[in-house]
Amino acid sequence: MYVLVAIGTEERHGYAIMREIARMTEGATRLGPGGIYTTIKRLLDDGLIEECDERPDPELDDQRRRYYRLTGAGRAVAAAEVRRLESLVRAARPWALEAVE
Amino acid sequence: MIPRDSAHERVYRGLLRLYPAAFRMRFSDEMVQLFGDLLRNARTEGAPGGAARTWLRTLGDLAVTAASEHARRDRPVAHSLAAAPSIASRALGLAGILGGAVLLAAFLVEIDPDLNYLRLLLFNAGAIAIGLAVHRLQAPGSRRLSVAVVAPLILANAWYAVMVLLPTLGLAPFAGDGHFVGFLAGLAMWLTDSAFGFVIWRIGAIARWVGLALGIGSLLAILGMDRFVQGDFAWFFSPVALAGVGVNGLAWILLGLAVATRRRASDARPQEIPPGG
Repeated sequence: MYVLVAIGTEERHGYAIMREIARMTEGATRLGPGGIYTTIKRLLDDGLIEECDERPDPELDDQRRRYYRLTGAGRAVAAAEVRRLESLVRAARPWALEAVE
Repeated sequence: MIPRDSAHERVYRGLLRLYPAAFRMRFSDEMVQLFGDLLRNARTEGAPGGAARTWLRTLGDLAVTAASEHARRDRPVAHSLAAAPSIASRALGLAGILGGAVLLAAFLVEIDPDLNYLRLLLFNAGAIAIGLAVHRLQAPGSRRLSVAVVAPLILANAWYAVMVLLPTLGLAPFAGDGHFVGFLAGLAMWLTDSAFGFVIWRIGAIARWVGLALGIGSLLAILGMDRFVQGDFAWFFSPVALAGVGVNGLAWILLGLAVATRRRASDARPQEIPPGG
């Protein structure tokens, strides 16, 4: 889910995905190269993301970089997960925060 | 422009051999580059020990994800994305079930000695079929490893089948050494069955605990060979060997079931939903 959200509406390569996950979790979640690419492999296998055909300009970036974007199915899965989490948060909000404050 | 790997990156690239071959071939360049980005970032930030911390985190990440990738590699895919087993898989699995069943049948029903060769041939054919099925599953991940494990199994079972078949055809090409050559064929068969089982268990291919049972059962079955059961310890070797043969037969049945029912990845992708849909 982190990788899906980190890609979002952009086309991102592995390092950009890693940085975006660290940014949006305020450093709480830091995936390594293995964590990033085993997840990318699963998402590719499930058709939730796809590799972009275009490679970076060789003068500007390393051509080994591959960029990934969400597929329609990936966007649908992300939307469904967001709805699920929203309903969970709605159900827990009235009491969960009070319980620890 | 593709820059050359630094010394750190070359070491990391070597460590990527811990991942399954197919995964490595697909992602190693990107992973090395990402690792290089992390190291450069650590140096840019200038924190003391930045490179060492990057290495430590990366090694931890590598140990966990390489192991999980090996474990996940042969796990059946989710049913929502899987198609029914192929006809070839079903046929190979059924052959394995039949081979194990005829071996176990000897414990339950008396078989005409003249038909014993048929039972052994079916047993060998079942083992060969399971070997082929596992090779079909494993070859995309690591063809050389798959061939190295499956080829001895197939050759040894084929050799034993030939040794069983020759007398029924009235042929005795090994003259006085026939018994010894037959013993070697049987030994090779049990040993390769065992090695095959242990490898299935080790790499987590189909039904890994059945693989372990096959490995142990086949080793025990060796104790039932003529040269062992004709000694002072026959009272011990015979029942242990029979148990081993039984476990071996049961394992082939279960492996056959796993092969025949294993769902495969479908080419079909989830239906694309347009943005905002």
